This record gives sequence, C-alpha cells and structure tokens, in this order.
Amino acid sequence: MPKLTVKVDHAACSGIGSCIETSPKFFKFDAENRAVVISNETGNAEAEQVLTVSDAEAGELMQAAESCPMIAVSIHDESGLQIYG
Amino acid sequence: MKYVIIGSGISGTTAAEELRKIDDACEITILSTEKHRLYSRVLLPRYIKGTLPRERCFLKKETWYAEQNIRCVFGVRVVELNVAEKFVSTADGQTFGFDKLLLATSGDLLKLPNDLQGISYLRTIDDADYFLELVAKFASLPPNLQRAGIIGGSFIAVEYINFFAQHKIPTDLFMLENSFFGGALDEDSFTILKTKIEAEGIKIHTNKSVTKLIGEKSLDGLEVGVEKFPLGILGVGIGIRPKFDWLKLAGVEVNRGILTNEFLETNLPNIYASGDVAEFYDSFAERRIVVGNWLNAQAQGRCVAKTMAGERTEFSAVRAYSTNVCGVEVIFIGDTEAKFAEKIVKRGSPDENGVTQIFIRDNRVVGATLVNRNVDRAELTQLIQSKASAANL
Repeated sequence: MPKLTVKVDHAACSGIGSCIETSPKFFKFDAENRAVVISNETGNAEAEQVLTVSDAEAGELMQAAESCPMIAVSIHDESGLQIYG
Repeated sequence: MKYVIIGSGISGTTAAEELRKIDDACEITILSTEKHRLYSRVLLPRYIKGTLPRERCFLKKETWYAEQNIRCVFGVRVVELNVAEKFVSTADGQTFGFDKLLLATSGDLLKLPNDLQGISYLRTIDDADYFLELVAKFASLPPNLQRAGIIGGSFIAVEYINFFAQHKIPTDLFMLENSFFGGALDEDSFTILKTKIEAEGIKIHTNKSVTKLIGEKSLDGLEVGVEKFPLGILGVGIGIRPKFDWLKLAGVEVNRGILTNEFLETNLPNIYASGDVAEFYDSFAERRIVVGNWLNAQAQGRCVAKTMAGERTEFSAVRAYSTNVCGVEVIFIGDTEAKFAEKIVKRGSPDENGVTQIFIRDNRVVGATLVNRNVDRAELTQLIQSKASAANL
C-alpha cells in the first residue's frame, strides 16, 4: 500500500476547494478557510499528513492535488521523491 | 464516438480528460481561441507579483494532449454550428464533425473603446505578460503619471487592488455600482473592504463612470465628469460578453448564458454546455444561474463528461468561491443574488471587522456572503446543502 506525504501549502492555498470537491474523504477546510488533510487513521486534520492508502486512494489524492489551480497540494512518496506539486 | 469541445479552459479540458478516462477509443477534439495550453488563471496574480515563475502557471505539459490522444486546435474561433449535419466551422474555414458537442467557452472580454498604451486587462496569461511590461516602464513615467487607475468592481479589479497596494502605487478605483462583485455585498460588508483598501492608498469612487480617456497613443489619465485624474497605468475589469449569434442561428436557447437543465444539456440533443458560459439549473437555488469561477467550471466539466459518455449525471453542488482583498477574506456560497432573496439575515458588523449576509428564500438558506467570517462557512454550506429550514440558523 502506498505511503504518501500529502501537504497543503497554506501560503499558496486560497480556499478555492478543488481538492475538497475532488476528494472530500481526504480534504476539508479549517477555520481559516484553508484546506487541510484528513488522516485516514485518526481522523485528525492537519496541513500535512503521512497517509497509508490503497492504490485507488492514491489515485484520488493525485487527482485532488492536480485539480488545485493554486498548485498548493504536494505529494511525496515514501522515498521522499516529490511526485506532484 | 466523436466529441468536439469548444473551449480549452478548465471546464473543456477537464471534460476532455474525463471522457478519455471513460472511453480510450473515442475521438476528442478541443477547439479554442486561446494560443496556450491550459494554465491557471487564478495563479496569474502570483505570477505578476513575481512569486511564481510563468512556466508554473501551466497546468498541463506540452506533451499532455498527445499523450491523452486529445487533438487540440488552438487559435481558432468557431463561427457556425450545423445541427442537422453535426459539424462546426471556424472563421478560417475548417470544419469539424461531431457526435456530441460541448460548449465550454468563456466569452469575449469587454474592452474600453480606446486602445492606449497603459491600459491593461488581466484575463489571460498574455494580458499578464503585457501588464508586467507596463509595470517595468512605470518608474520611467513623468512623476505626475506615476499613479494607477482601476475600472470595475469584479474579481479582476481585486487582483489590481492587491497588486497596486503591494507596490504602494497611489490608485483611484471607479465602479458603476455602490459595492464590489455586482452589488452582492451590502453596505456593512463593503465598509470593511473599503476601510482596508483605502488604508492601502487606493481611493474608491462608487457609482462613477469614466467618461473619457486622456492620451493619444499612451494613457495620460481619465476624466470622470468634470474631474480629471492623471495616471499612467489603468487596470480594467468590466466583465465578459459571450457571443451567441451563431448559436442562436442554430437554434440553441440562450439568455445570459447558454440555457441548460441540471444535466448541463442544452435544448438540442447531443449538445451540452459547462463552465462560465452555461446558465444551468441549480438544484439548490432552484433556478437557472450563471457562475464564473474556477471550481464550478472544473466540477461541471467533470460532470458533463459523464453525461456525454452515456452516464446521465445531475450537476449538484453548493457553489462557493473565495478571494482575498488586501487581507480581507471574502467568501460567496450558493445563490448570492440579493434580489432573489426574500429575507437577508446578518451576522457581525463593521465594528467587529466581520459581516455575514445569509440569503433566505422559501424559508430556507440559499446563499451567503462572508467577509472576514470564515467561521460561518461550514455551517452555512451544510444548511444550503441539506435544504434545511432557516429556523435552524
């Protein structure tokens, strides 16, 4: 199962919500109208999370990151390689 | 199956991408007046601020279209639709046959009658390049012209406000309405914005129409009635007007936008519309509306592709959009046209530096504007989505 580090750059995020529209399971707004990543283990939401996900969920996260018009969402794989953002 | 998509912005490109995911054998052709591959219009403010390289604005690589087997014909304008024989023609005489057609254009920019050097529009990446050229020359203008002007009160005007404020360029802003965003904000909301914007050196003139531009080749200023305002750079954001004549001739029903139902289907079979150009039936507002923002265009592109491919899908989403004006966060949720509200409930005040307007119709919440009150977003979105009674407020 892929282990991904998903990060929302809050300096770039402007609260448009493309990631949330694409993947409400993994993203939501915080009180400051910025997107945060929801942990699939704890349910906690932070600007950055390390997520162990299925291949389908990895595809969904990738699509959410690609949908952001502010390029605010980045994804790194387990080796630290930036695969998006 | 042969799909033709008119418009290469986020709605058209997203639809093409989704169609390809659904059917790897279909033919997809995008026709566009644009010269460039897909880029993020909402990143242009960061590009002109210098915080993002130009290349980073592009959301697709040059090779993406070929990799996806999507034919994209840039720099062409469609001028004719033949419904009976199922083809469209471009101004340069090319024809493209289709089984299904998506109209996903964004319309033509409204421009001032004079084309003087110093006037800027911030719609496309080419516009952004030109604006940066003007800014580079700004410091060499005579001192009395080292001022800026803005015409309009739209999202584009906001980008100019943020830029001129950041660069501390003294600016006069003229708008026809008495508030920003087509009058969607009430006086209290406007007061919060105005106070912050004017503190940044930008003077706002409401209910004012520019009567004359001064200058022969390059801009020297403008006149508003008898008042003269010398300035060397002018940002204009006065809206977009789609050209529908060719669609009307073909029998496509249009109003402010191209009329569709909740499935983004027009009145003609196999012809669809999405994004800024669609006047679609919004199941939460329970009326037809036009929405010109990134998220809506993207979500509609995704949705309409399914319907075009045979999986008829209703477009159903509570629309929201946010912007930041000199540090003031402004959020629009759902149906924010005040004239369609039966009642408006307000939270906060200018003294509290935050105001929310809640629009109520048929005893339920249909929309809201939030100025510096992000805290209301989740609750109000949920109320609109659930179509709950306004008594739950």
